[in-house]
Amino acid sequence: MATNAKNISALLTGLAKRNYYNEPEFTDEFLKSQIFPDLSDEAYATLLKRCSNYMKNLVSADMDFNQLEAFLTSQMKRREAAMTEEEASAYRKFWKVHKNKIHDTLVSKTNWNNSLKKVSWRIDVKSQSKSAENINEPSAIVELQIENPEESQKTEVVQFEMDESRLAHVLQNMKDIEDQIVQYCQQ
Amino acid sequence: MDLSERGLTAGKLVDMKWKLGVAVCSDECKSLNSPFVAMTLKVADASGKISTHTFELTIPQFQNFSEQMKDMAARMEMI
Repeated sequence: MATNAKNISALLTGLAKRNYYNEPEFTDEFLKSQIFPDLSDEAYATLLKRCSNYMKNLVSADMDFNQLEAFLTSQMKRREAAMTEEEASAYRKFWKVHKNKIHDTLVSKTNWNNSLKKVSWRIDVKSQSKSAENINEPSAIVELQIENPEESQKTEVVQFEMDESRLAHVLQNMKDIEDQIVQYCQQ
Repeated sequence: MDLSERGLTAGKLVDMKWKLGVAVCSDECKSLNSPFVAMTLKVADASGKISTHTFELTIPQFQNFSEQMKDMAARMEMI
């Protein structure tokens, strides 16, 4: 049973689903039965190892498309077990589709701290109070849903109130952060 | 029930701290290169007891949070 761009692509996609997209049903055995049913176990094991290693290289370096071409070219020039043009074409296709998605998945998988699941807010206005000075004083009520990535059932709900001056302080913080992002990050 | 329907005794935000970091690499990816904003909020309840809440945001998540705060401020000004 020959390996070609099509079945290699299918194998790469299956491996990505299991390793990165949290779809454990795509086991090695399942993939073999679906894509390479006639391949010997030994040949399949070799192919699997080869594809996994190549994929790890691409993912680990988060290769851009120039780096990918350079990498594929170098693999095709090897004296032993050189990559074929069919294989290279499968990797090009795979990377075009999955590069960003896999990277984003890895980024979110490496946030082991709480994340902000939801932000809700409303504005209250105090219309009456004992001392007249408080009439029509707005305050912002914010509710944050904070989720722990390891225990997603436990969502923490935090509610707090801010008057205009506290909110102005918060906005200043937001602006400071934005300025730092522009300065330090290529976005 | 959404926030507008619930009567609540919300605490008061007493402090907000932040840091901007970059996740450089991980065991699966040598080139993670991913900036994030980490925040810590301190909220005092009616009795003065302070609770601390921390979370981490990607840049797009932070920008969304920031937009919401700005929207809120804009609405407050109209009142």
